[in-house]
Amino acid sequence: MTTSNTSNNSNAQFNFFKMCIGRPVVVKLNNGVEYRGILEVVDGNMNIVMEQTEEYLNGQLKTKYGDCFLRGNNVLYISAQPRK
Amino acid sequence: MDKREEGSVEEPLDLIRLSLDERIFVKMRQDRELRGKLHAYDQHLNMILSDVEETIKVVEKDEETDEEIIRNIKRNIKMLFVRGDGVILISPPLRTS
Amino acid sequence: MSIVSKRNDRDIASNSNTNIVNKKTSETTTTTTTNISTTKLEHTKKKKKFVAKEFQSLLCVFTALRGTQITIQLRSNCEIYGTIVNVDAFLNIELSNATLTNRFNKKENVQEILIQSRNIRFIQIPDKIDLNSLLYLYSKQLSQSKKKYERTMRKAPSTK
Repeated sequence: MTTSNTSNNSNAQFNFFKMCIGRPVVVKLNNGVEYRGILEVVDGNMNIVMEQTEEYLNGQLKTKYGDCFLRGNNVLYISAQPRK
Repeated sequence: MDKREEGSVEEPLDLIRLSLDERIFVKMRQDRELRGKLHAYDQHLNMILSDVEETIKVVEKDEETDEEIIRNIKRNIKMLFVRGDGVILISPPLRTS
Repeated sequence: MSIVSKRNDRDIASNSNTNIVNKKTSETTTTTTTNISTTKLEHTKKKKKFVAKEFQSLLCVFTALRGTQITIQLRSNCEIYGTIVNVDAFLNIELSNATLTNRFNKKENVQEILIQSRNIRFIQIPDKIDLNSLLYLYSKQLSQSKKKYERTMRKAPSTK
């Protein structure tokens, strides 16, 4: 993270995360399970903390979590609902 | 990441820290779930849990009737070290299931 | 990053619902809390002490557990019960006098075995270990970090 090129990339990623914080997101994991909730924190390893999370498997709501921490290596994508 | 202000965005691991000495629910790979009291963790998410109840979900498909039977195999372990790379999700224990 | 344990933060009075590990450490908490207050003053000067790499994660637990018997469950559903000889920085574990039990419940005895850390799913450790003293160094570092915000209980989403 010392060269300007890499710092620009990491800032772009980080700006994306910053924009998504507080918004409802869909996080899909490598195993196909989806989690919908309000994004609270993301870190460099894509570890995620979300509130009011619902777990969907094959489109079916399976469980609800008040708070959940997802390990970054399992995350396939984080998708935010667009605003404006 | 370097330009992050101190205190404005929390590290996810700091939030796990708040669950120390509390019971947590851990979802692991291969349909395993653990419920136990968190004693310690590190940056790899290796954890030490006590009074753990491990649940393994086994789905058996009956070929004749095409029924899927879901079985839960449970066992209790007093003190457990969990390797971080198997962990998927960590949460306070479920209130609604 | 340091490992994290809340032991030294806890009040002695709240030790009522504790298991064996906590009861043993309740005596030591009085001395440790006084030590923390002095170290807080030292750390305001922001001295960086060198901490050995193996102590920067939960490996320190296993280095301290050398000679004890543990059960390792592998990713391949095998279990190995044996005495820890050595642990390295990657959590590869060397066991002696080990009994391997595979998923068909076939047992095999082995004098010495080295288990690659990648294959470990979890490790059952003796419940009578004194976590407080093992994790003291790291919980000290933890207790000095500021409390960033209060935890609020978050409810699960209401059913629609």
